[in-house]
Amino acid sequence: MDSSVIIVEFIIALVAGILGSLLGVGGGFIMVPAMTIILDIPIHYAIAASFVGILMNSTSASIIYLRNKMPNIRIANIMQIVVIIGAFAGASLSISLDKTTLSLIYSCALIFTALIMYRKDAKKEIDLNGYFVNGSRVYKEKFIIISSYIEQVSKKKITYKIQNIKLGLIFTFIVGIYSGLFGVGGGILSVPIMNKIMKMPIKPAIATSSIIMGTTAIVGLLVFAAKGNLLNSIAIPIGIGMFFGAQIGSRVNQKIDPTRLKNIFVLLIMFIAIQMIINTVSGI
Amino acid sequence: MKVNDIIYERMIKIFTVCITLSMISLIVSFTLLVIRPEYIMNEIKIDYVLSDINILIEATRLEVVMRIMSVIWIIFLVFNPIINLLMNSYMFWKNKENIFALSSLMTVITLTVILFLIFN
Repeated sequence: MDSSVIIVEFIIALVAGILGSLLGVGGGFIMVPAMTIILDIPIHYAIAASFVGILMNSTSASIIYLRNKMPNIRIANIMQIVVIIGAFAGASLSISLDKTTLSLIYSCALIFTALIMYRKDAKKEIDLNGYFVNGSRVYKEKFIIISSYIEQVSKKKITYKIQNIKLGLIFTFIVGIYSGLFGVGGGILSVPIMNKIMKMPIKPAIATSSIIMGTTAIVGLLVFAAKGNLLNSIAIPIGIGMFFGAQIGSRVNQKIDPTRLKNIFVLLIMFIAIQMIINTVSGI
Repeated sequence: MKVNDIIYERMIKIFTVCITLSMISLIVSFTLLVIRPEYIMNEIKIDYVLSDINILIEATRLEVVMRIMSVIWIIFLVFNPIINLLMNSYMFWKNKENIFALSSLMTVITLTVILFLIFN
């Protein structure tokens, strides 16, 4: 293999790593099309290498996010299992379903998600303290997760309570099914689910998504590796590029204003939705 | 120290160790890939044995190094989230947060079952 090809692979992974870790998504939406279109790499090799990239992205970015105490480990653990089961169900269903229609539905869901993400939330007072009964703290809900993080831009401590956990998990399962059907990472929809349904601030949602996608990428990577689709010449430059990209992206994430970050995320969702519609219509 | 802080600290340690080992083996593989692509990418053919025994020895050695390195980086990348999940499960169980301990453990079990189903 030519050295210039290796350098191009490295650059593709670097860019995907910066964007992916900045927004809590895997980066496969950049890597797979870039590798197949620019380098003419067969799609199954490209997807296998992209799983390496996603795993590396998750590991590398998570270190930075964990140092800043951003991810919510509790909700990540619950969401991981739901996504994995959903992805397995989706992969099993993929043979018997009409993918064209599903792909169009998924694209419409992405556009709808982008519109919801763009809409500003009405500020509502959230009961973070609960109330006291016989000296012990009691909340309306039986199952409650309250967490906080330091917003690096404003240097303020932000406390949040995760809401609508059941509804969030139902949507997470659906996202898992879709990621199994289309091989797309769950990050692009799990961040909006955490942000809009579970009412997590955007930065902890991105950091949590970064941890979740590491676990979910394992299955994909091992399946492709077992089939012999994992090539050293593609996976190695992708892995190294992703490591450095994720280090940059996750550091930039800490310095961006949350509203601006949300707007970049909306643009990304729209881009992926349009990319998916074009692919479906042109029959790729 | 709060349980959250302990978990964050331990996760950082696990992530750092795994990614350091992965990156070392990836960089060794990358170097081999760049300096000796002809040996790494090409299959060893019987003609080599007949024509030049030295090439075969060199190529075989590099192949072996490359294979070992590949195994190392894949293992550490893949096992990193699993080790973290097991550690989380233990920490949550110690802190009597049984739902979260169970969910971490269930994720590992589900992953194992799925992989078992796939490979069989």
